[in-house]
Amino acid sequence: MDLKIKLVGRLKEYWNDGSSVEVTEGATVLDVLKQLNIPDEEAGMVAINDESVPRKERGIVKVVPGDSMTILPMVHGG
Amino acid sequence: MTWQGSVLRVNLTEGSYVVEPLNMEWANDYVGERGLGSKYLVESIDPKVDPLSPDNALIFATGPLTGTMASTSGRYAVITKGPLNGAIACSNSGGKFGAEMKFAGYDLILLEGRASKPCYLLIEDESISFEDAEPIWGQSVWKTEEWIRNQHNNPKLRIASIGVAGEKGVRYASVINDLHRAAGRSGVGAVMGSKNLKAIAVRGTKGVSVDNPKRFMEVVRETKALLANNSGRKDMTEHGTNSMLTTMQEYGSLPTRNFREVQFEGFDKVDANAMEETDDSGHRNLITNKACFGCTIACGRIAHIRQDHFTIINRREYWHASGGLEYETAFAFGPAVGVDDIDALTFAGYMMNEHGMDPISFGVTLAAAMELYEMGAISKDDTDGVELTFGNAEALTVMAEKTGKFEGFGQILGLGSKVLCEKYGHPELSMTVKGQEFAGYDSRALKGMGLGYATSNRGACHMRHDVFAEDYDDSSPEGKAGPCKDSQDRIAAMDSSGLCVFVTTAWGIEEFAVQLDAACDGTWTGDRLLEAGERIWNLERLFNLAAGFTSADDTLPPRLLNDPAPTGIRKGTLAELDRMLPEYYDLRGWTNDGRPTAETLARLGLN
Repeated sequence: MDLKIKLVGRLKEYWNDGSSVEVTEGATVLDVLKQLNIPDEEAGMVAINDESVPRKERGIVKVVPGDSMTILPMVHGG
Repeated sequence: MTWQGSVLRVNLTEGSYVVEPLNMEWANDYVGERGLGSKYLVESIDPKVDPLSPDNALIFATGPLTGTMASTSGRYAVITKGPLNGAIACSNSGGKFGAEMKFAGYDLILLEGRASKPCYLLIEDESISFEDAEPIWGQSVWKTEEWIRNQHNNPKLRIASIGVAGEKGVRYASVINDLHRAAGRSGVGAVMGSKNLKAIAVRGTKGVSVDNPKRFMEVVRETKALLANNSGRKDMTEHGTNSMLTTMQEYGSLPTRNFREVQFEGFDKVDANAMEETDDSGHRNLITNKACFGCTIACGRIAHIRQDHFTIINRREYWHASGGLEYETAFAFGPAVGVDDIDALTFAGYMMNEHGMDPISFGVTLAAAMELYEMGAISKDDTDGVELTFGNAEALTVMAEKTGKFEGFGQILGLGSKVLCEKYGHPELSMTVKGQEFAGYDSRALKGMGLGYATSNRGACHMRHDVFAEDYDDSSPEGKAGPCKDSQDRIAAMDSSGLCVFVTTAWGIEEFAVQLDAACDGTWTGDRLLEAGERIWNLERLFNLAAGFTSADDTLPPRLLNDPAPTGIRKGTLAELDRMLPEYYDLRGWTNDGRPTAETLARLGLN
């Protein structure tokens, strides 16, 4: 199934191959991060359909067809 | 030892000085820089003193690791009672001045009184003299640096100075060193101006010794490798702090048009990518990056403005490269005032460095003025005929220059957002805490950030805590008080070390501790540093309480408490400070009205 993907900032260096990705049925957020080669700790925030997914639930929450995932890098100060 | 063991105490009223031994008991308890400087301030002045009177003190403080081989070891801090809001002020800076001051043999320079006429302090190791600053009074920071070096025929002098803004008492005037590094916040430059002190020029030749050189070099090598391999570090090197702007935009925490909105439609015209793009004429805003002393990050930006831009087309003196946009300048001159002209933003940044001002406070004050203008509370009669509408790039650049030169409506803007909004009958529009303007993070989307803003001892500040990970995790106020308090203590200790907190993208408190342990006498652990950080935080709090602040000042503007975030991933949420503050006070060991208990003071040795 297709998942819409929006990567922000330096995360594009891990995966920069269009705005959607083919994932398997039942894939979790963590599975998608692995498929995109993004280390878990590098993904500061993951939102599905503009709802953030707590870090501890990344291995539990599954994506479904039509979902849109936004991933922000971890930030400090500035 | 890595402290030089000397404090230069200067009496500007008498034109005299004395070199005192550093109080090592205080150094062991408060480390250096922010902590040690605050301790010296507390012991030197009455907290109720008028910040711009001769009775205030102004302290330049290095840390134990300043000037060493550690990465980012160029930091120093300026500590005083701040004129923007009357709270304890501590602003730190990079560049090369701090290391040079340490090389000259001084951990701290403590300035008291007021000179009878404009002067600057010339320090060349043990040689110290008061020099006449009349010829450069009224001149910019940039001309001051050039003039002093020429006057002494010494290009190796490192100089920290003020511009006209500091001389005239702009409440958020900065101290600028090395042309475009700033002890930026809280008006430390105005205190320097009130003392008739234009600059400190220093040249040192002594170097810095450490307790265990072999061990020190080993841990410095290890910690530098950690930093080198970190992706956050790499991002700051390549794109600077302004890469944050896109992230805050996507998240919905980019304060826009005086915090009415949280996302800015023109973000991609002023973000890091925009700085790096080459336009049709072949112009690229960004020229290169730049590092401070000893830094292996190099987040600084050097930029230039299109020569045909309206700001400089007839002003060749600005056709050169200079300090470029960082995240906070991009936020304050871009989304905060609705301007998306990157050259106008860059010019406004030049004005901040040339005349010595804090871009955050200036931009957020201008944003409030624009809202007042659009609602009819002020008019062209007040603004020297300038149409002060959101998005007006010319209004931004004209007012930046007017404020820097203390001309016309710039004199009102120079008082800060709180005074401005009170003057025109709308205090609720001031986006401040304790009278200091917010940085570029909206505290509806970032709850822990809001708590950090509300409790920051120098007023609203984003550099006093780090709760990003918890704020990203969920929109609830639950679970934010602990990380906020812990990070405040941690950063207070880091800010006292002589290193830059930007290393925290790769380092925790233990990486600071191993370097201090190798450099300093005694045993330095992460736990010892965290306790020192908590002691520093409470010392600052006690100063503010004695100065007249109360728990009522630990709050946020009504806009953030009552108006839901209009868009973004946290759309519909509020700051919810009341659900975090009681737990925060409890974790701090403070009473319900925000005062440290006797037990807390005893535990930290503050009784």
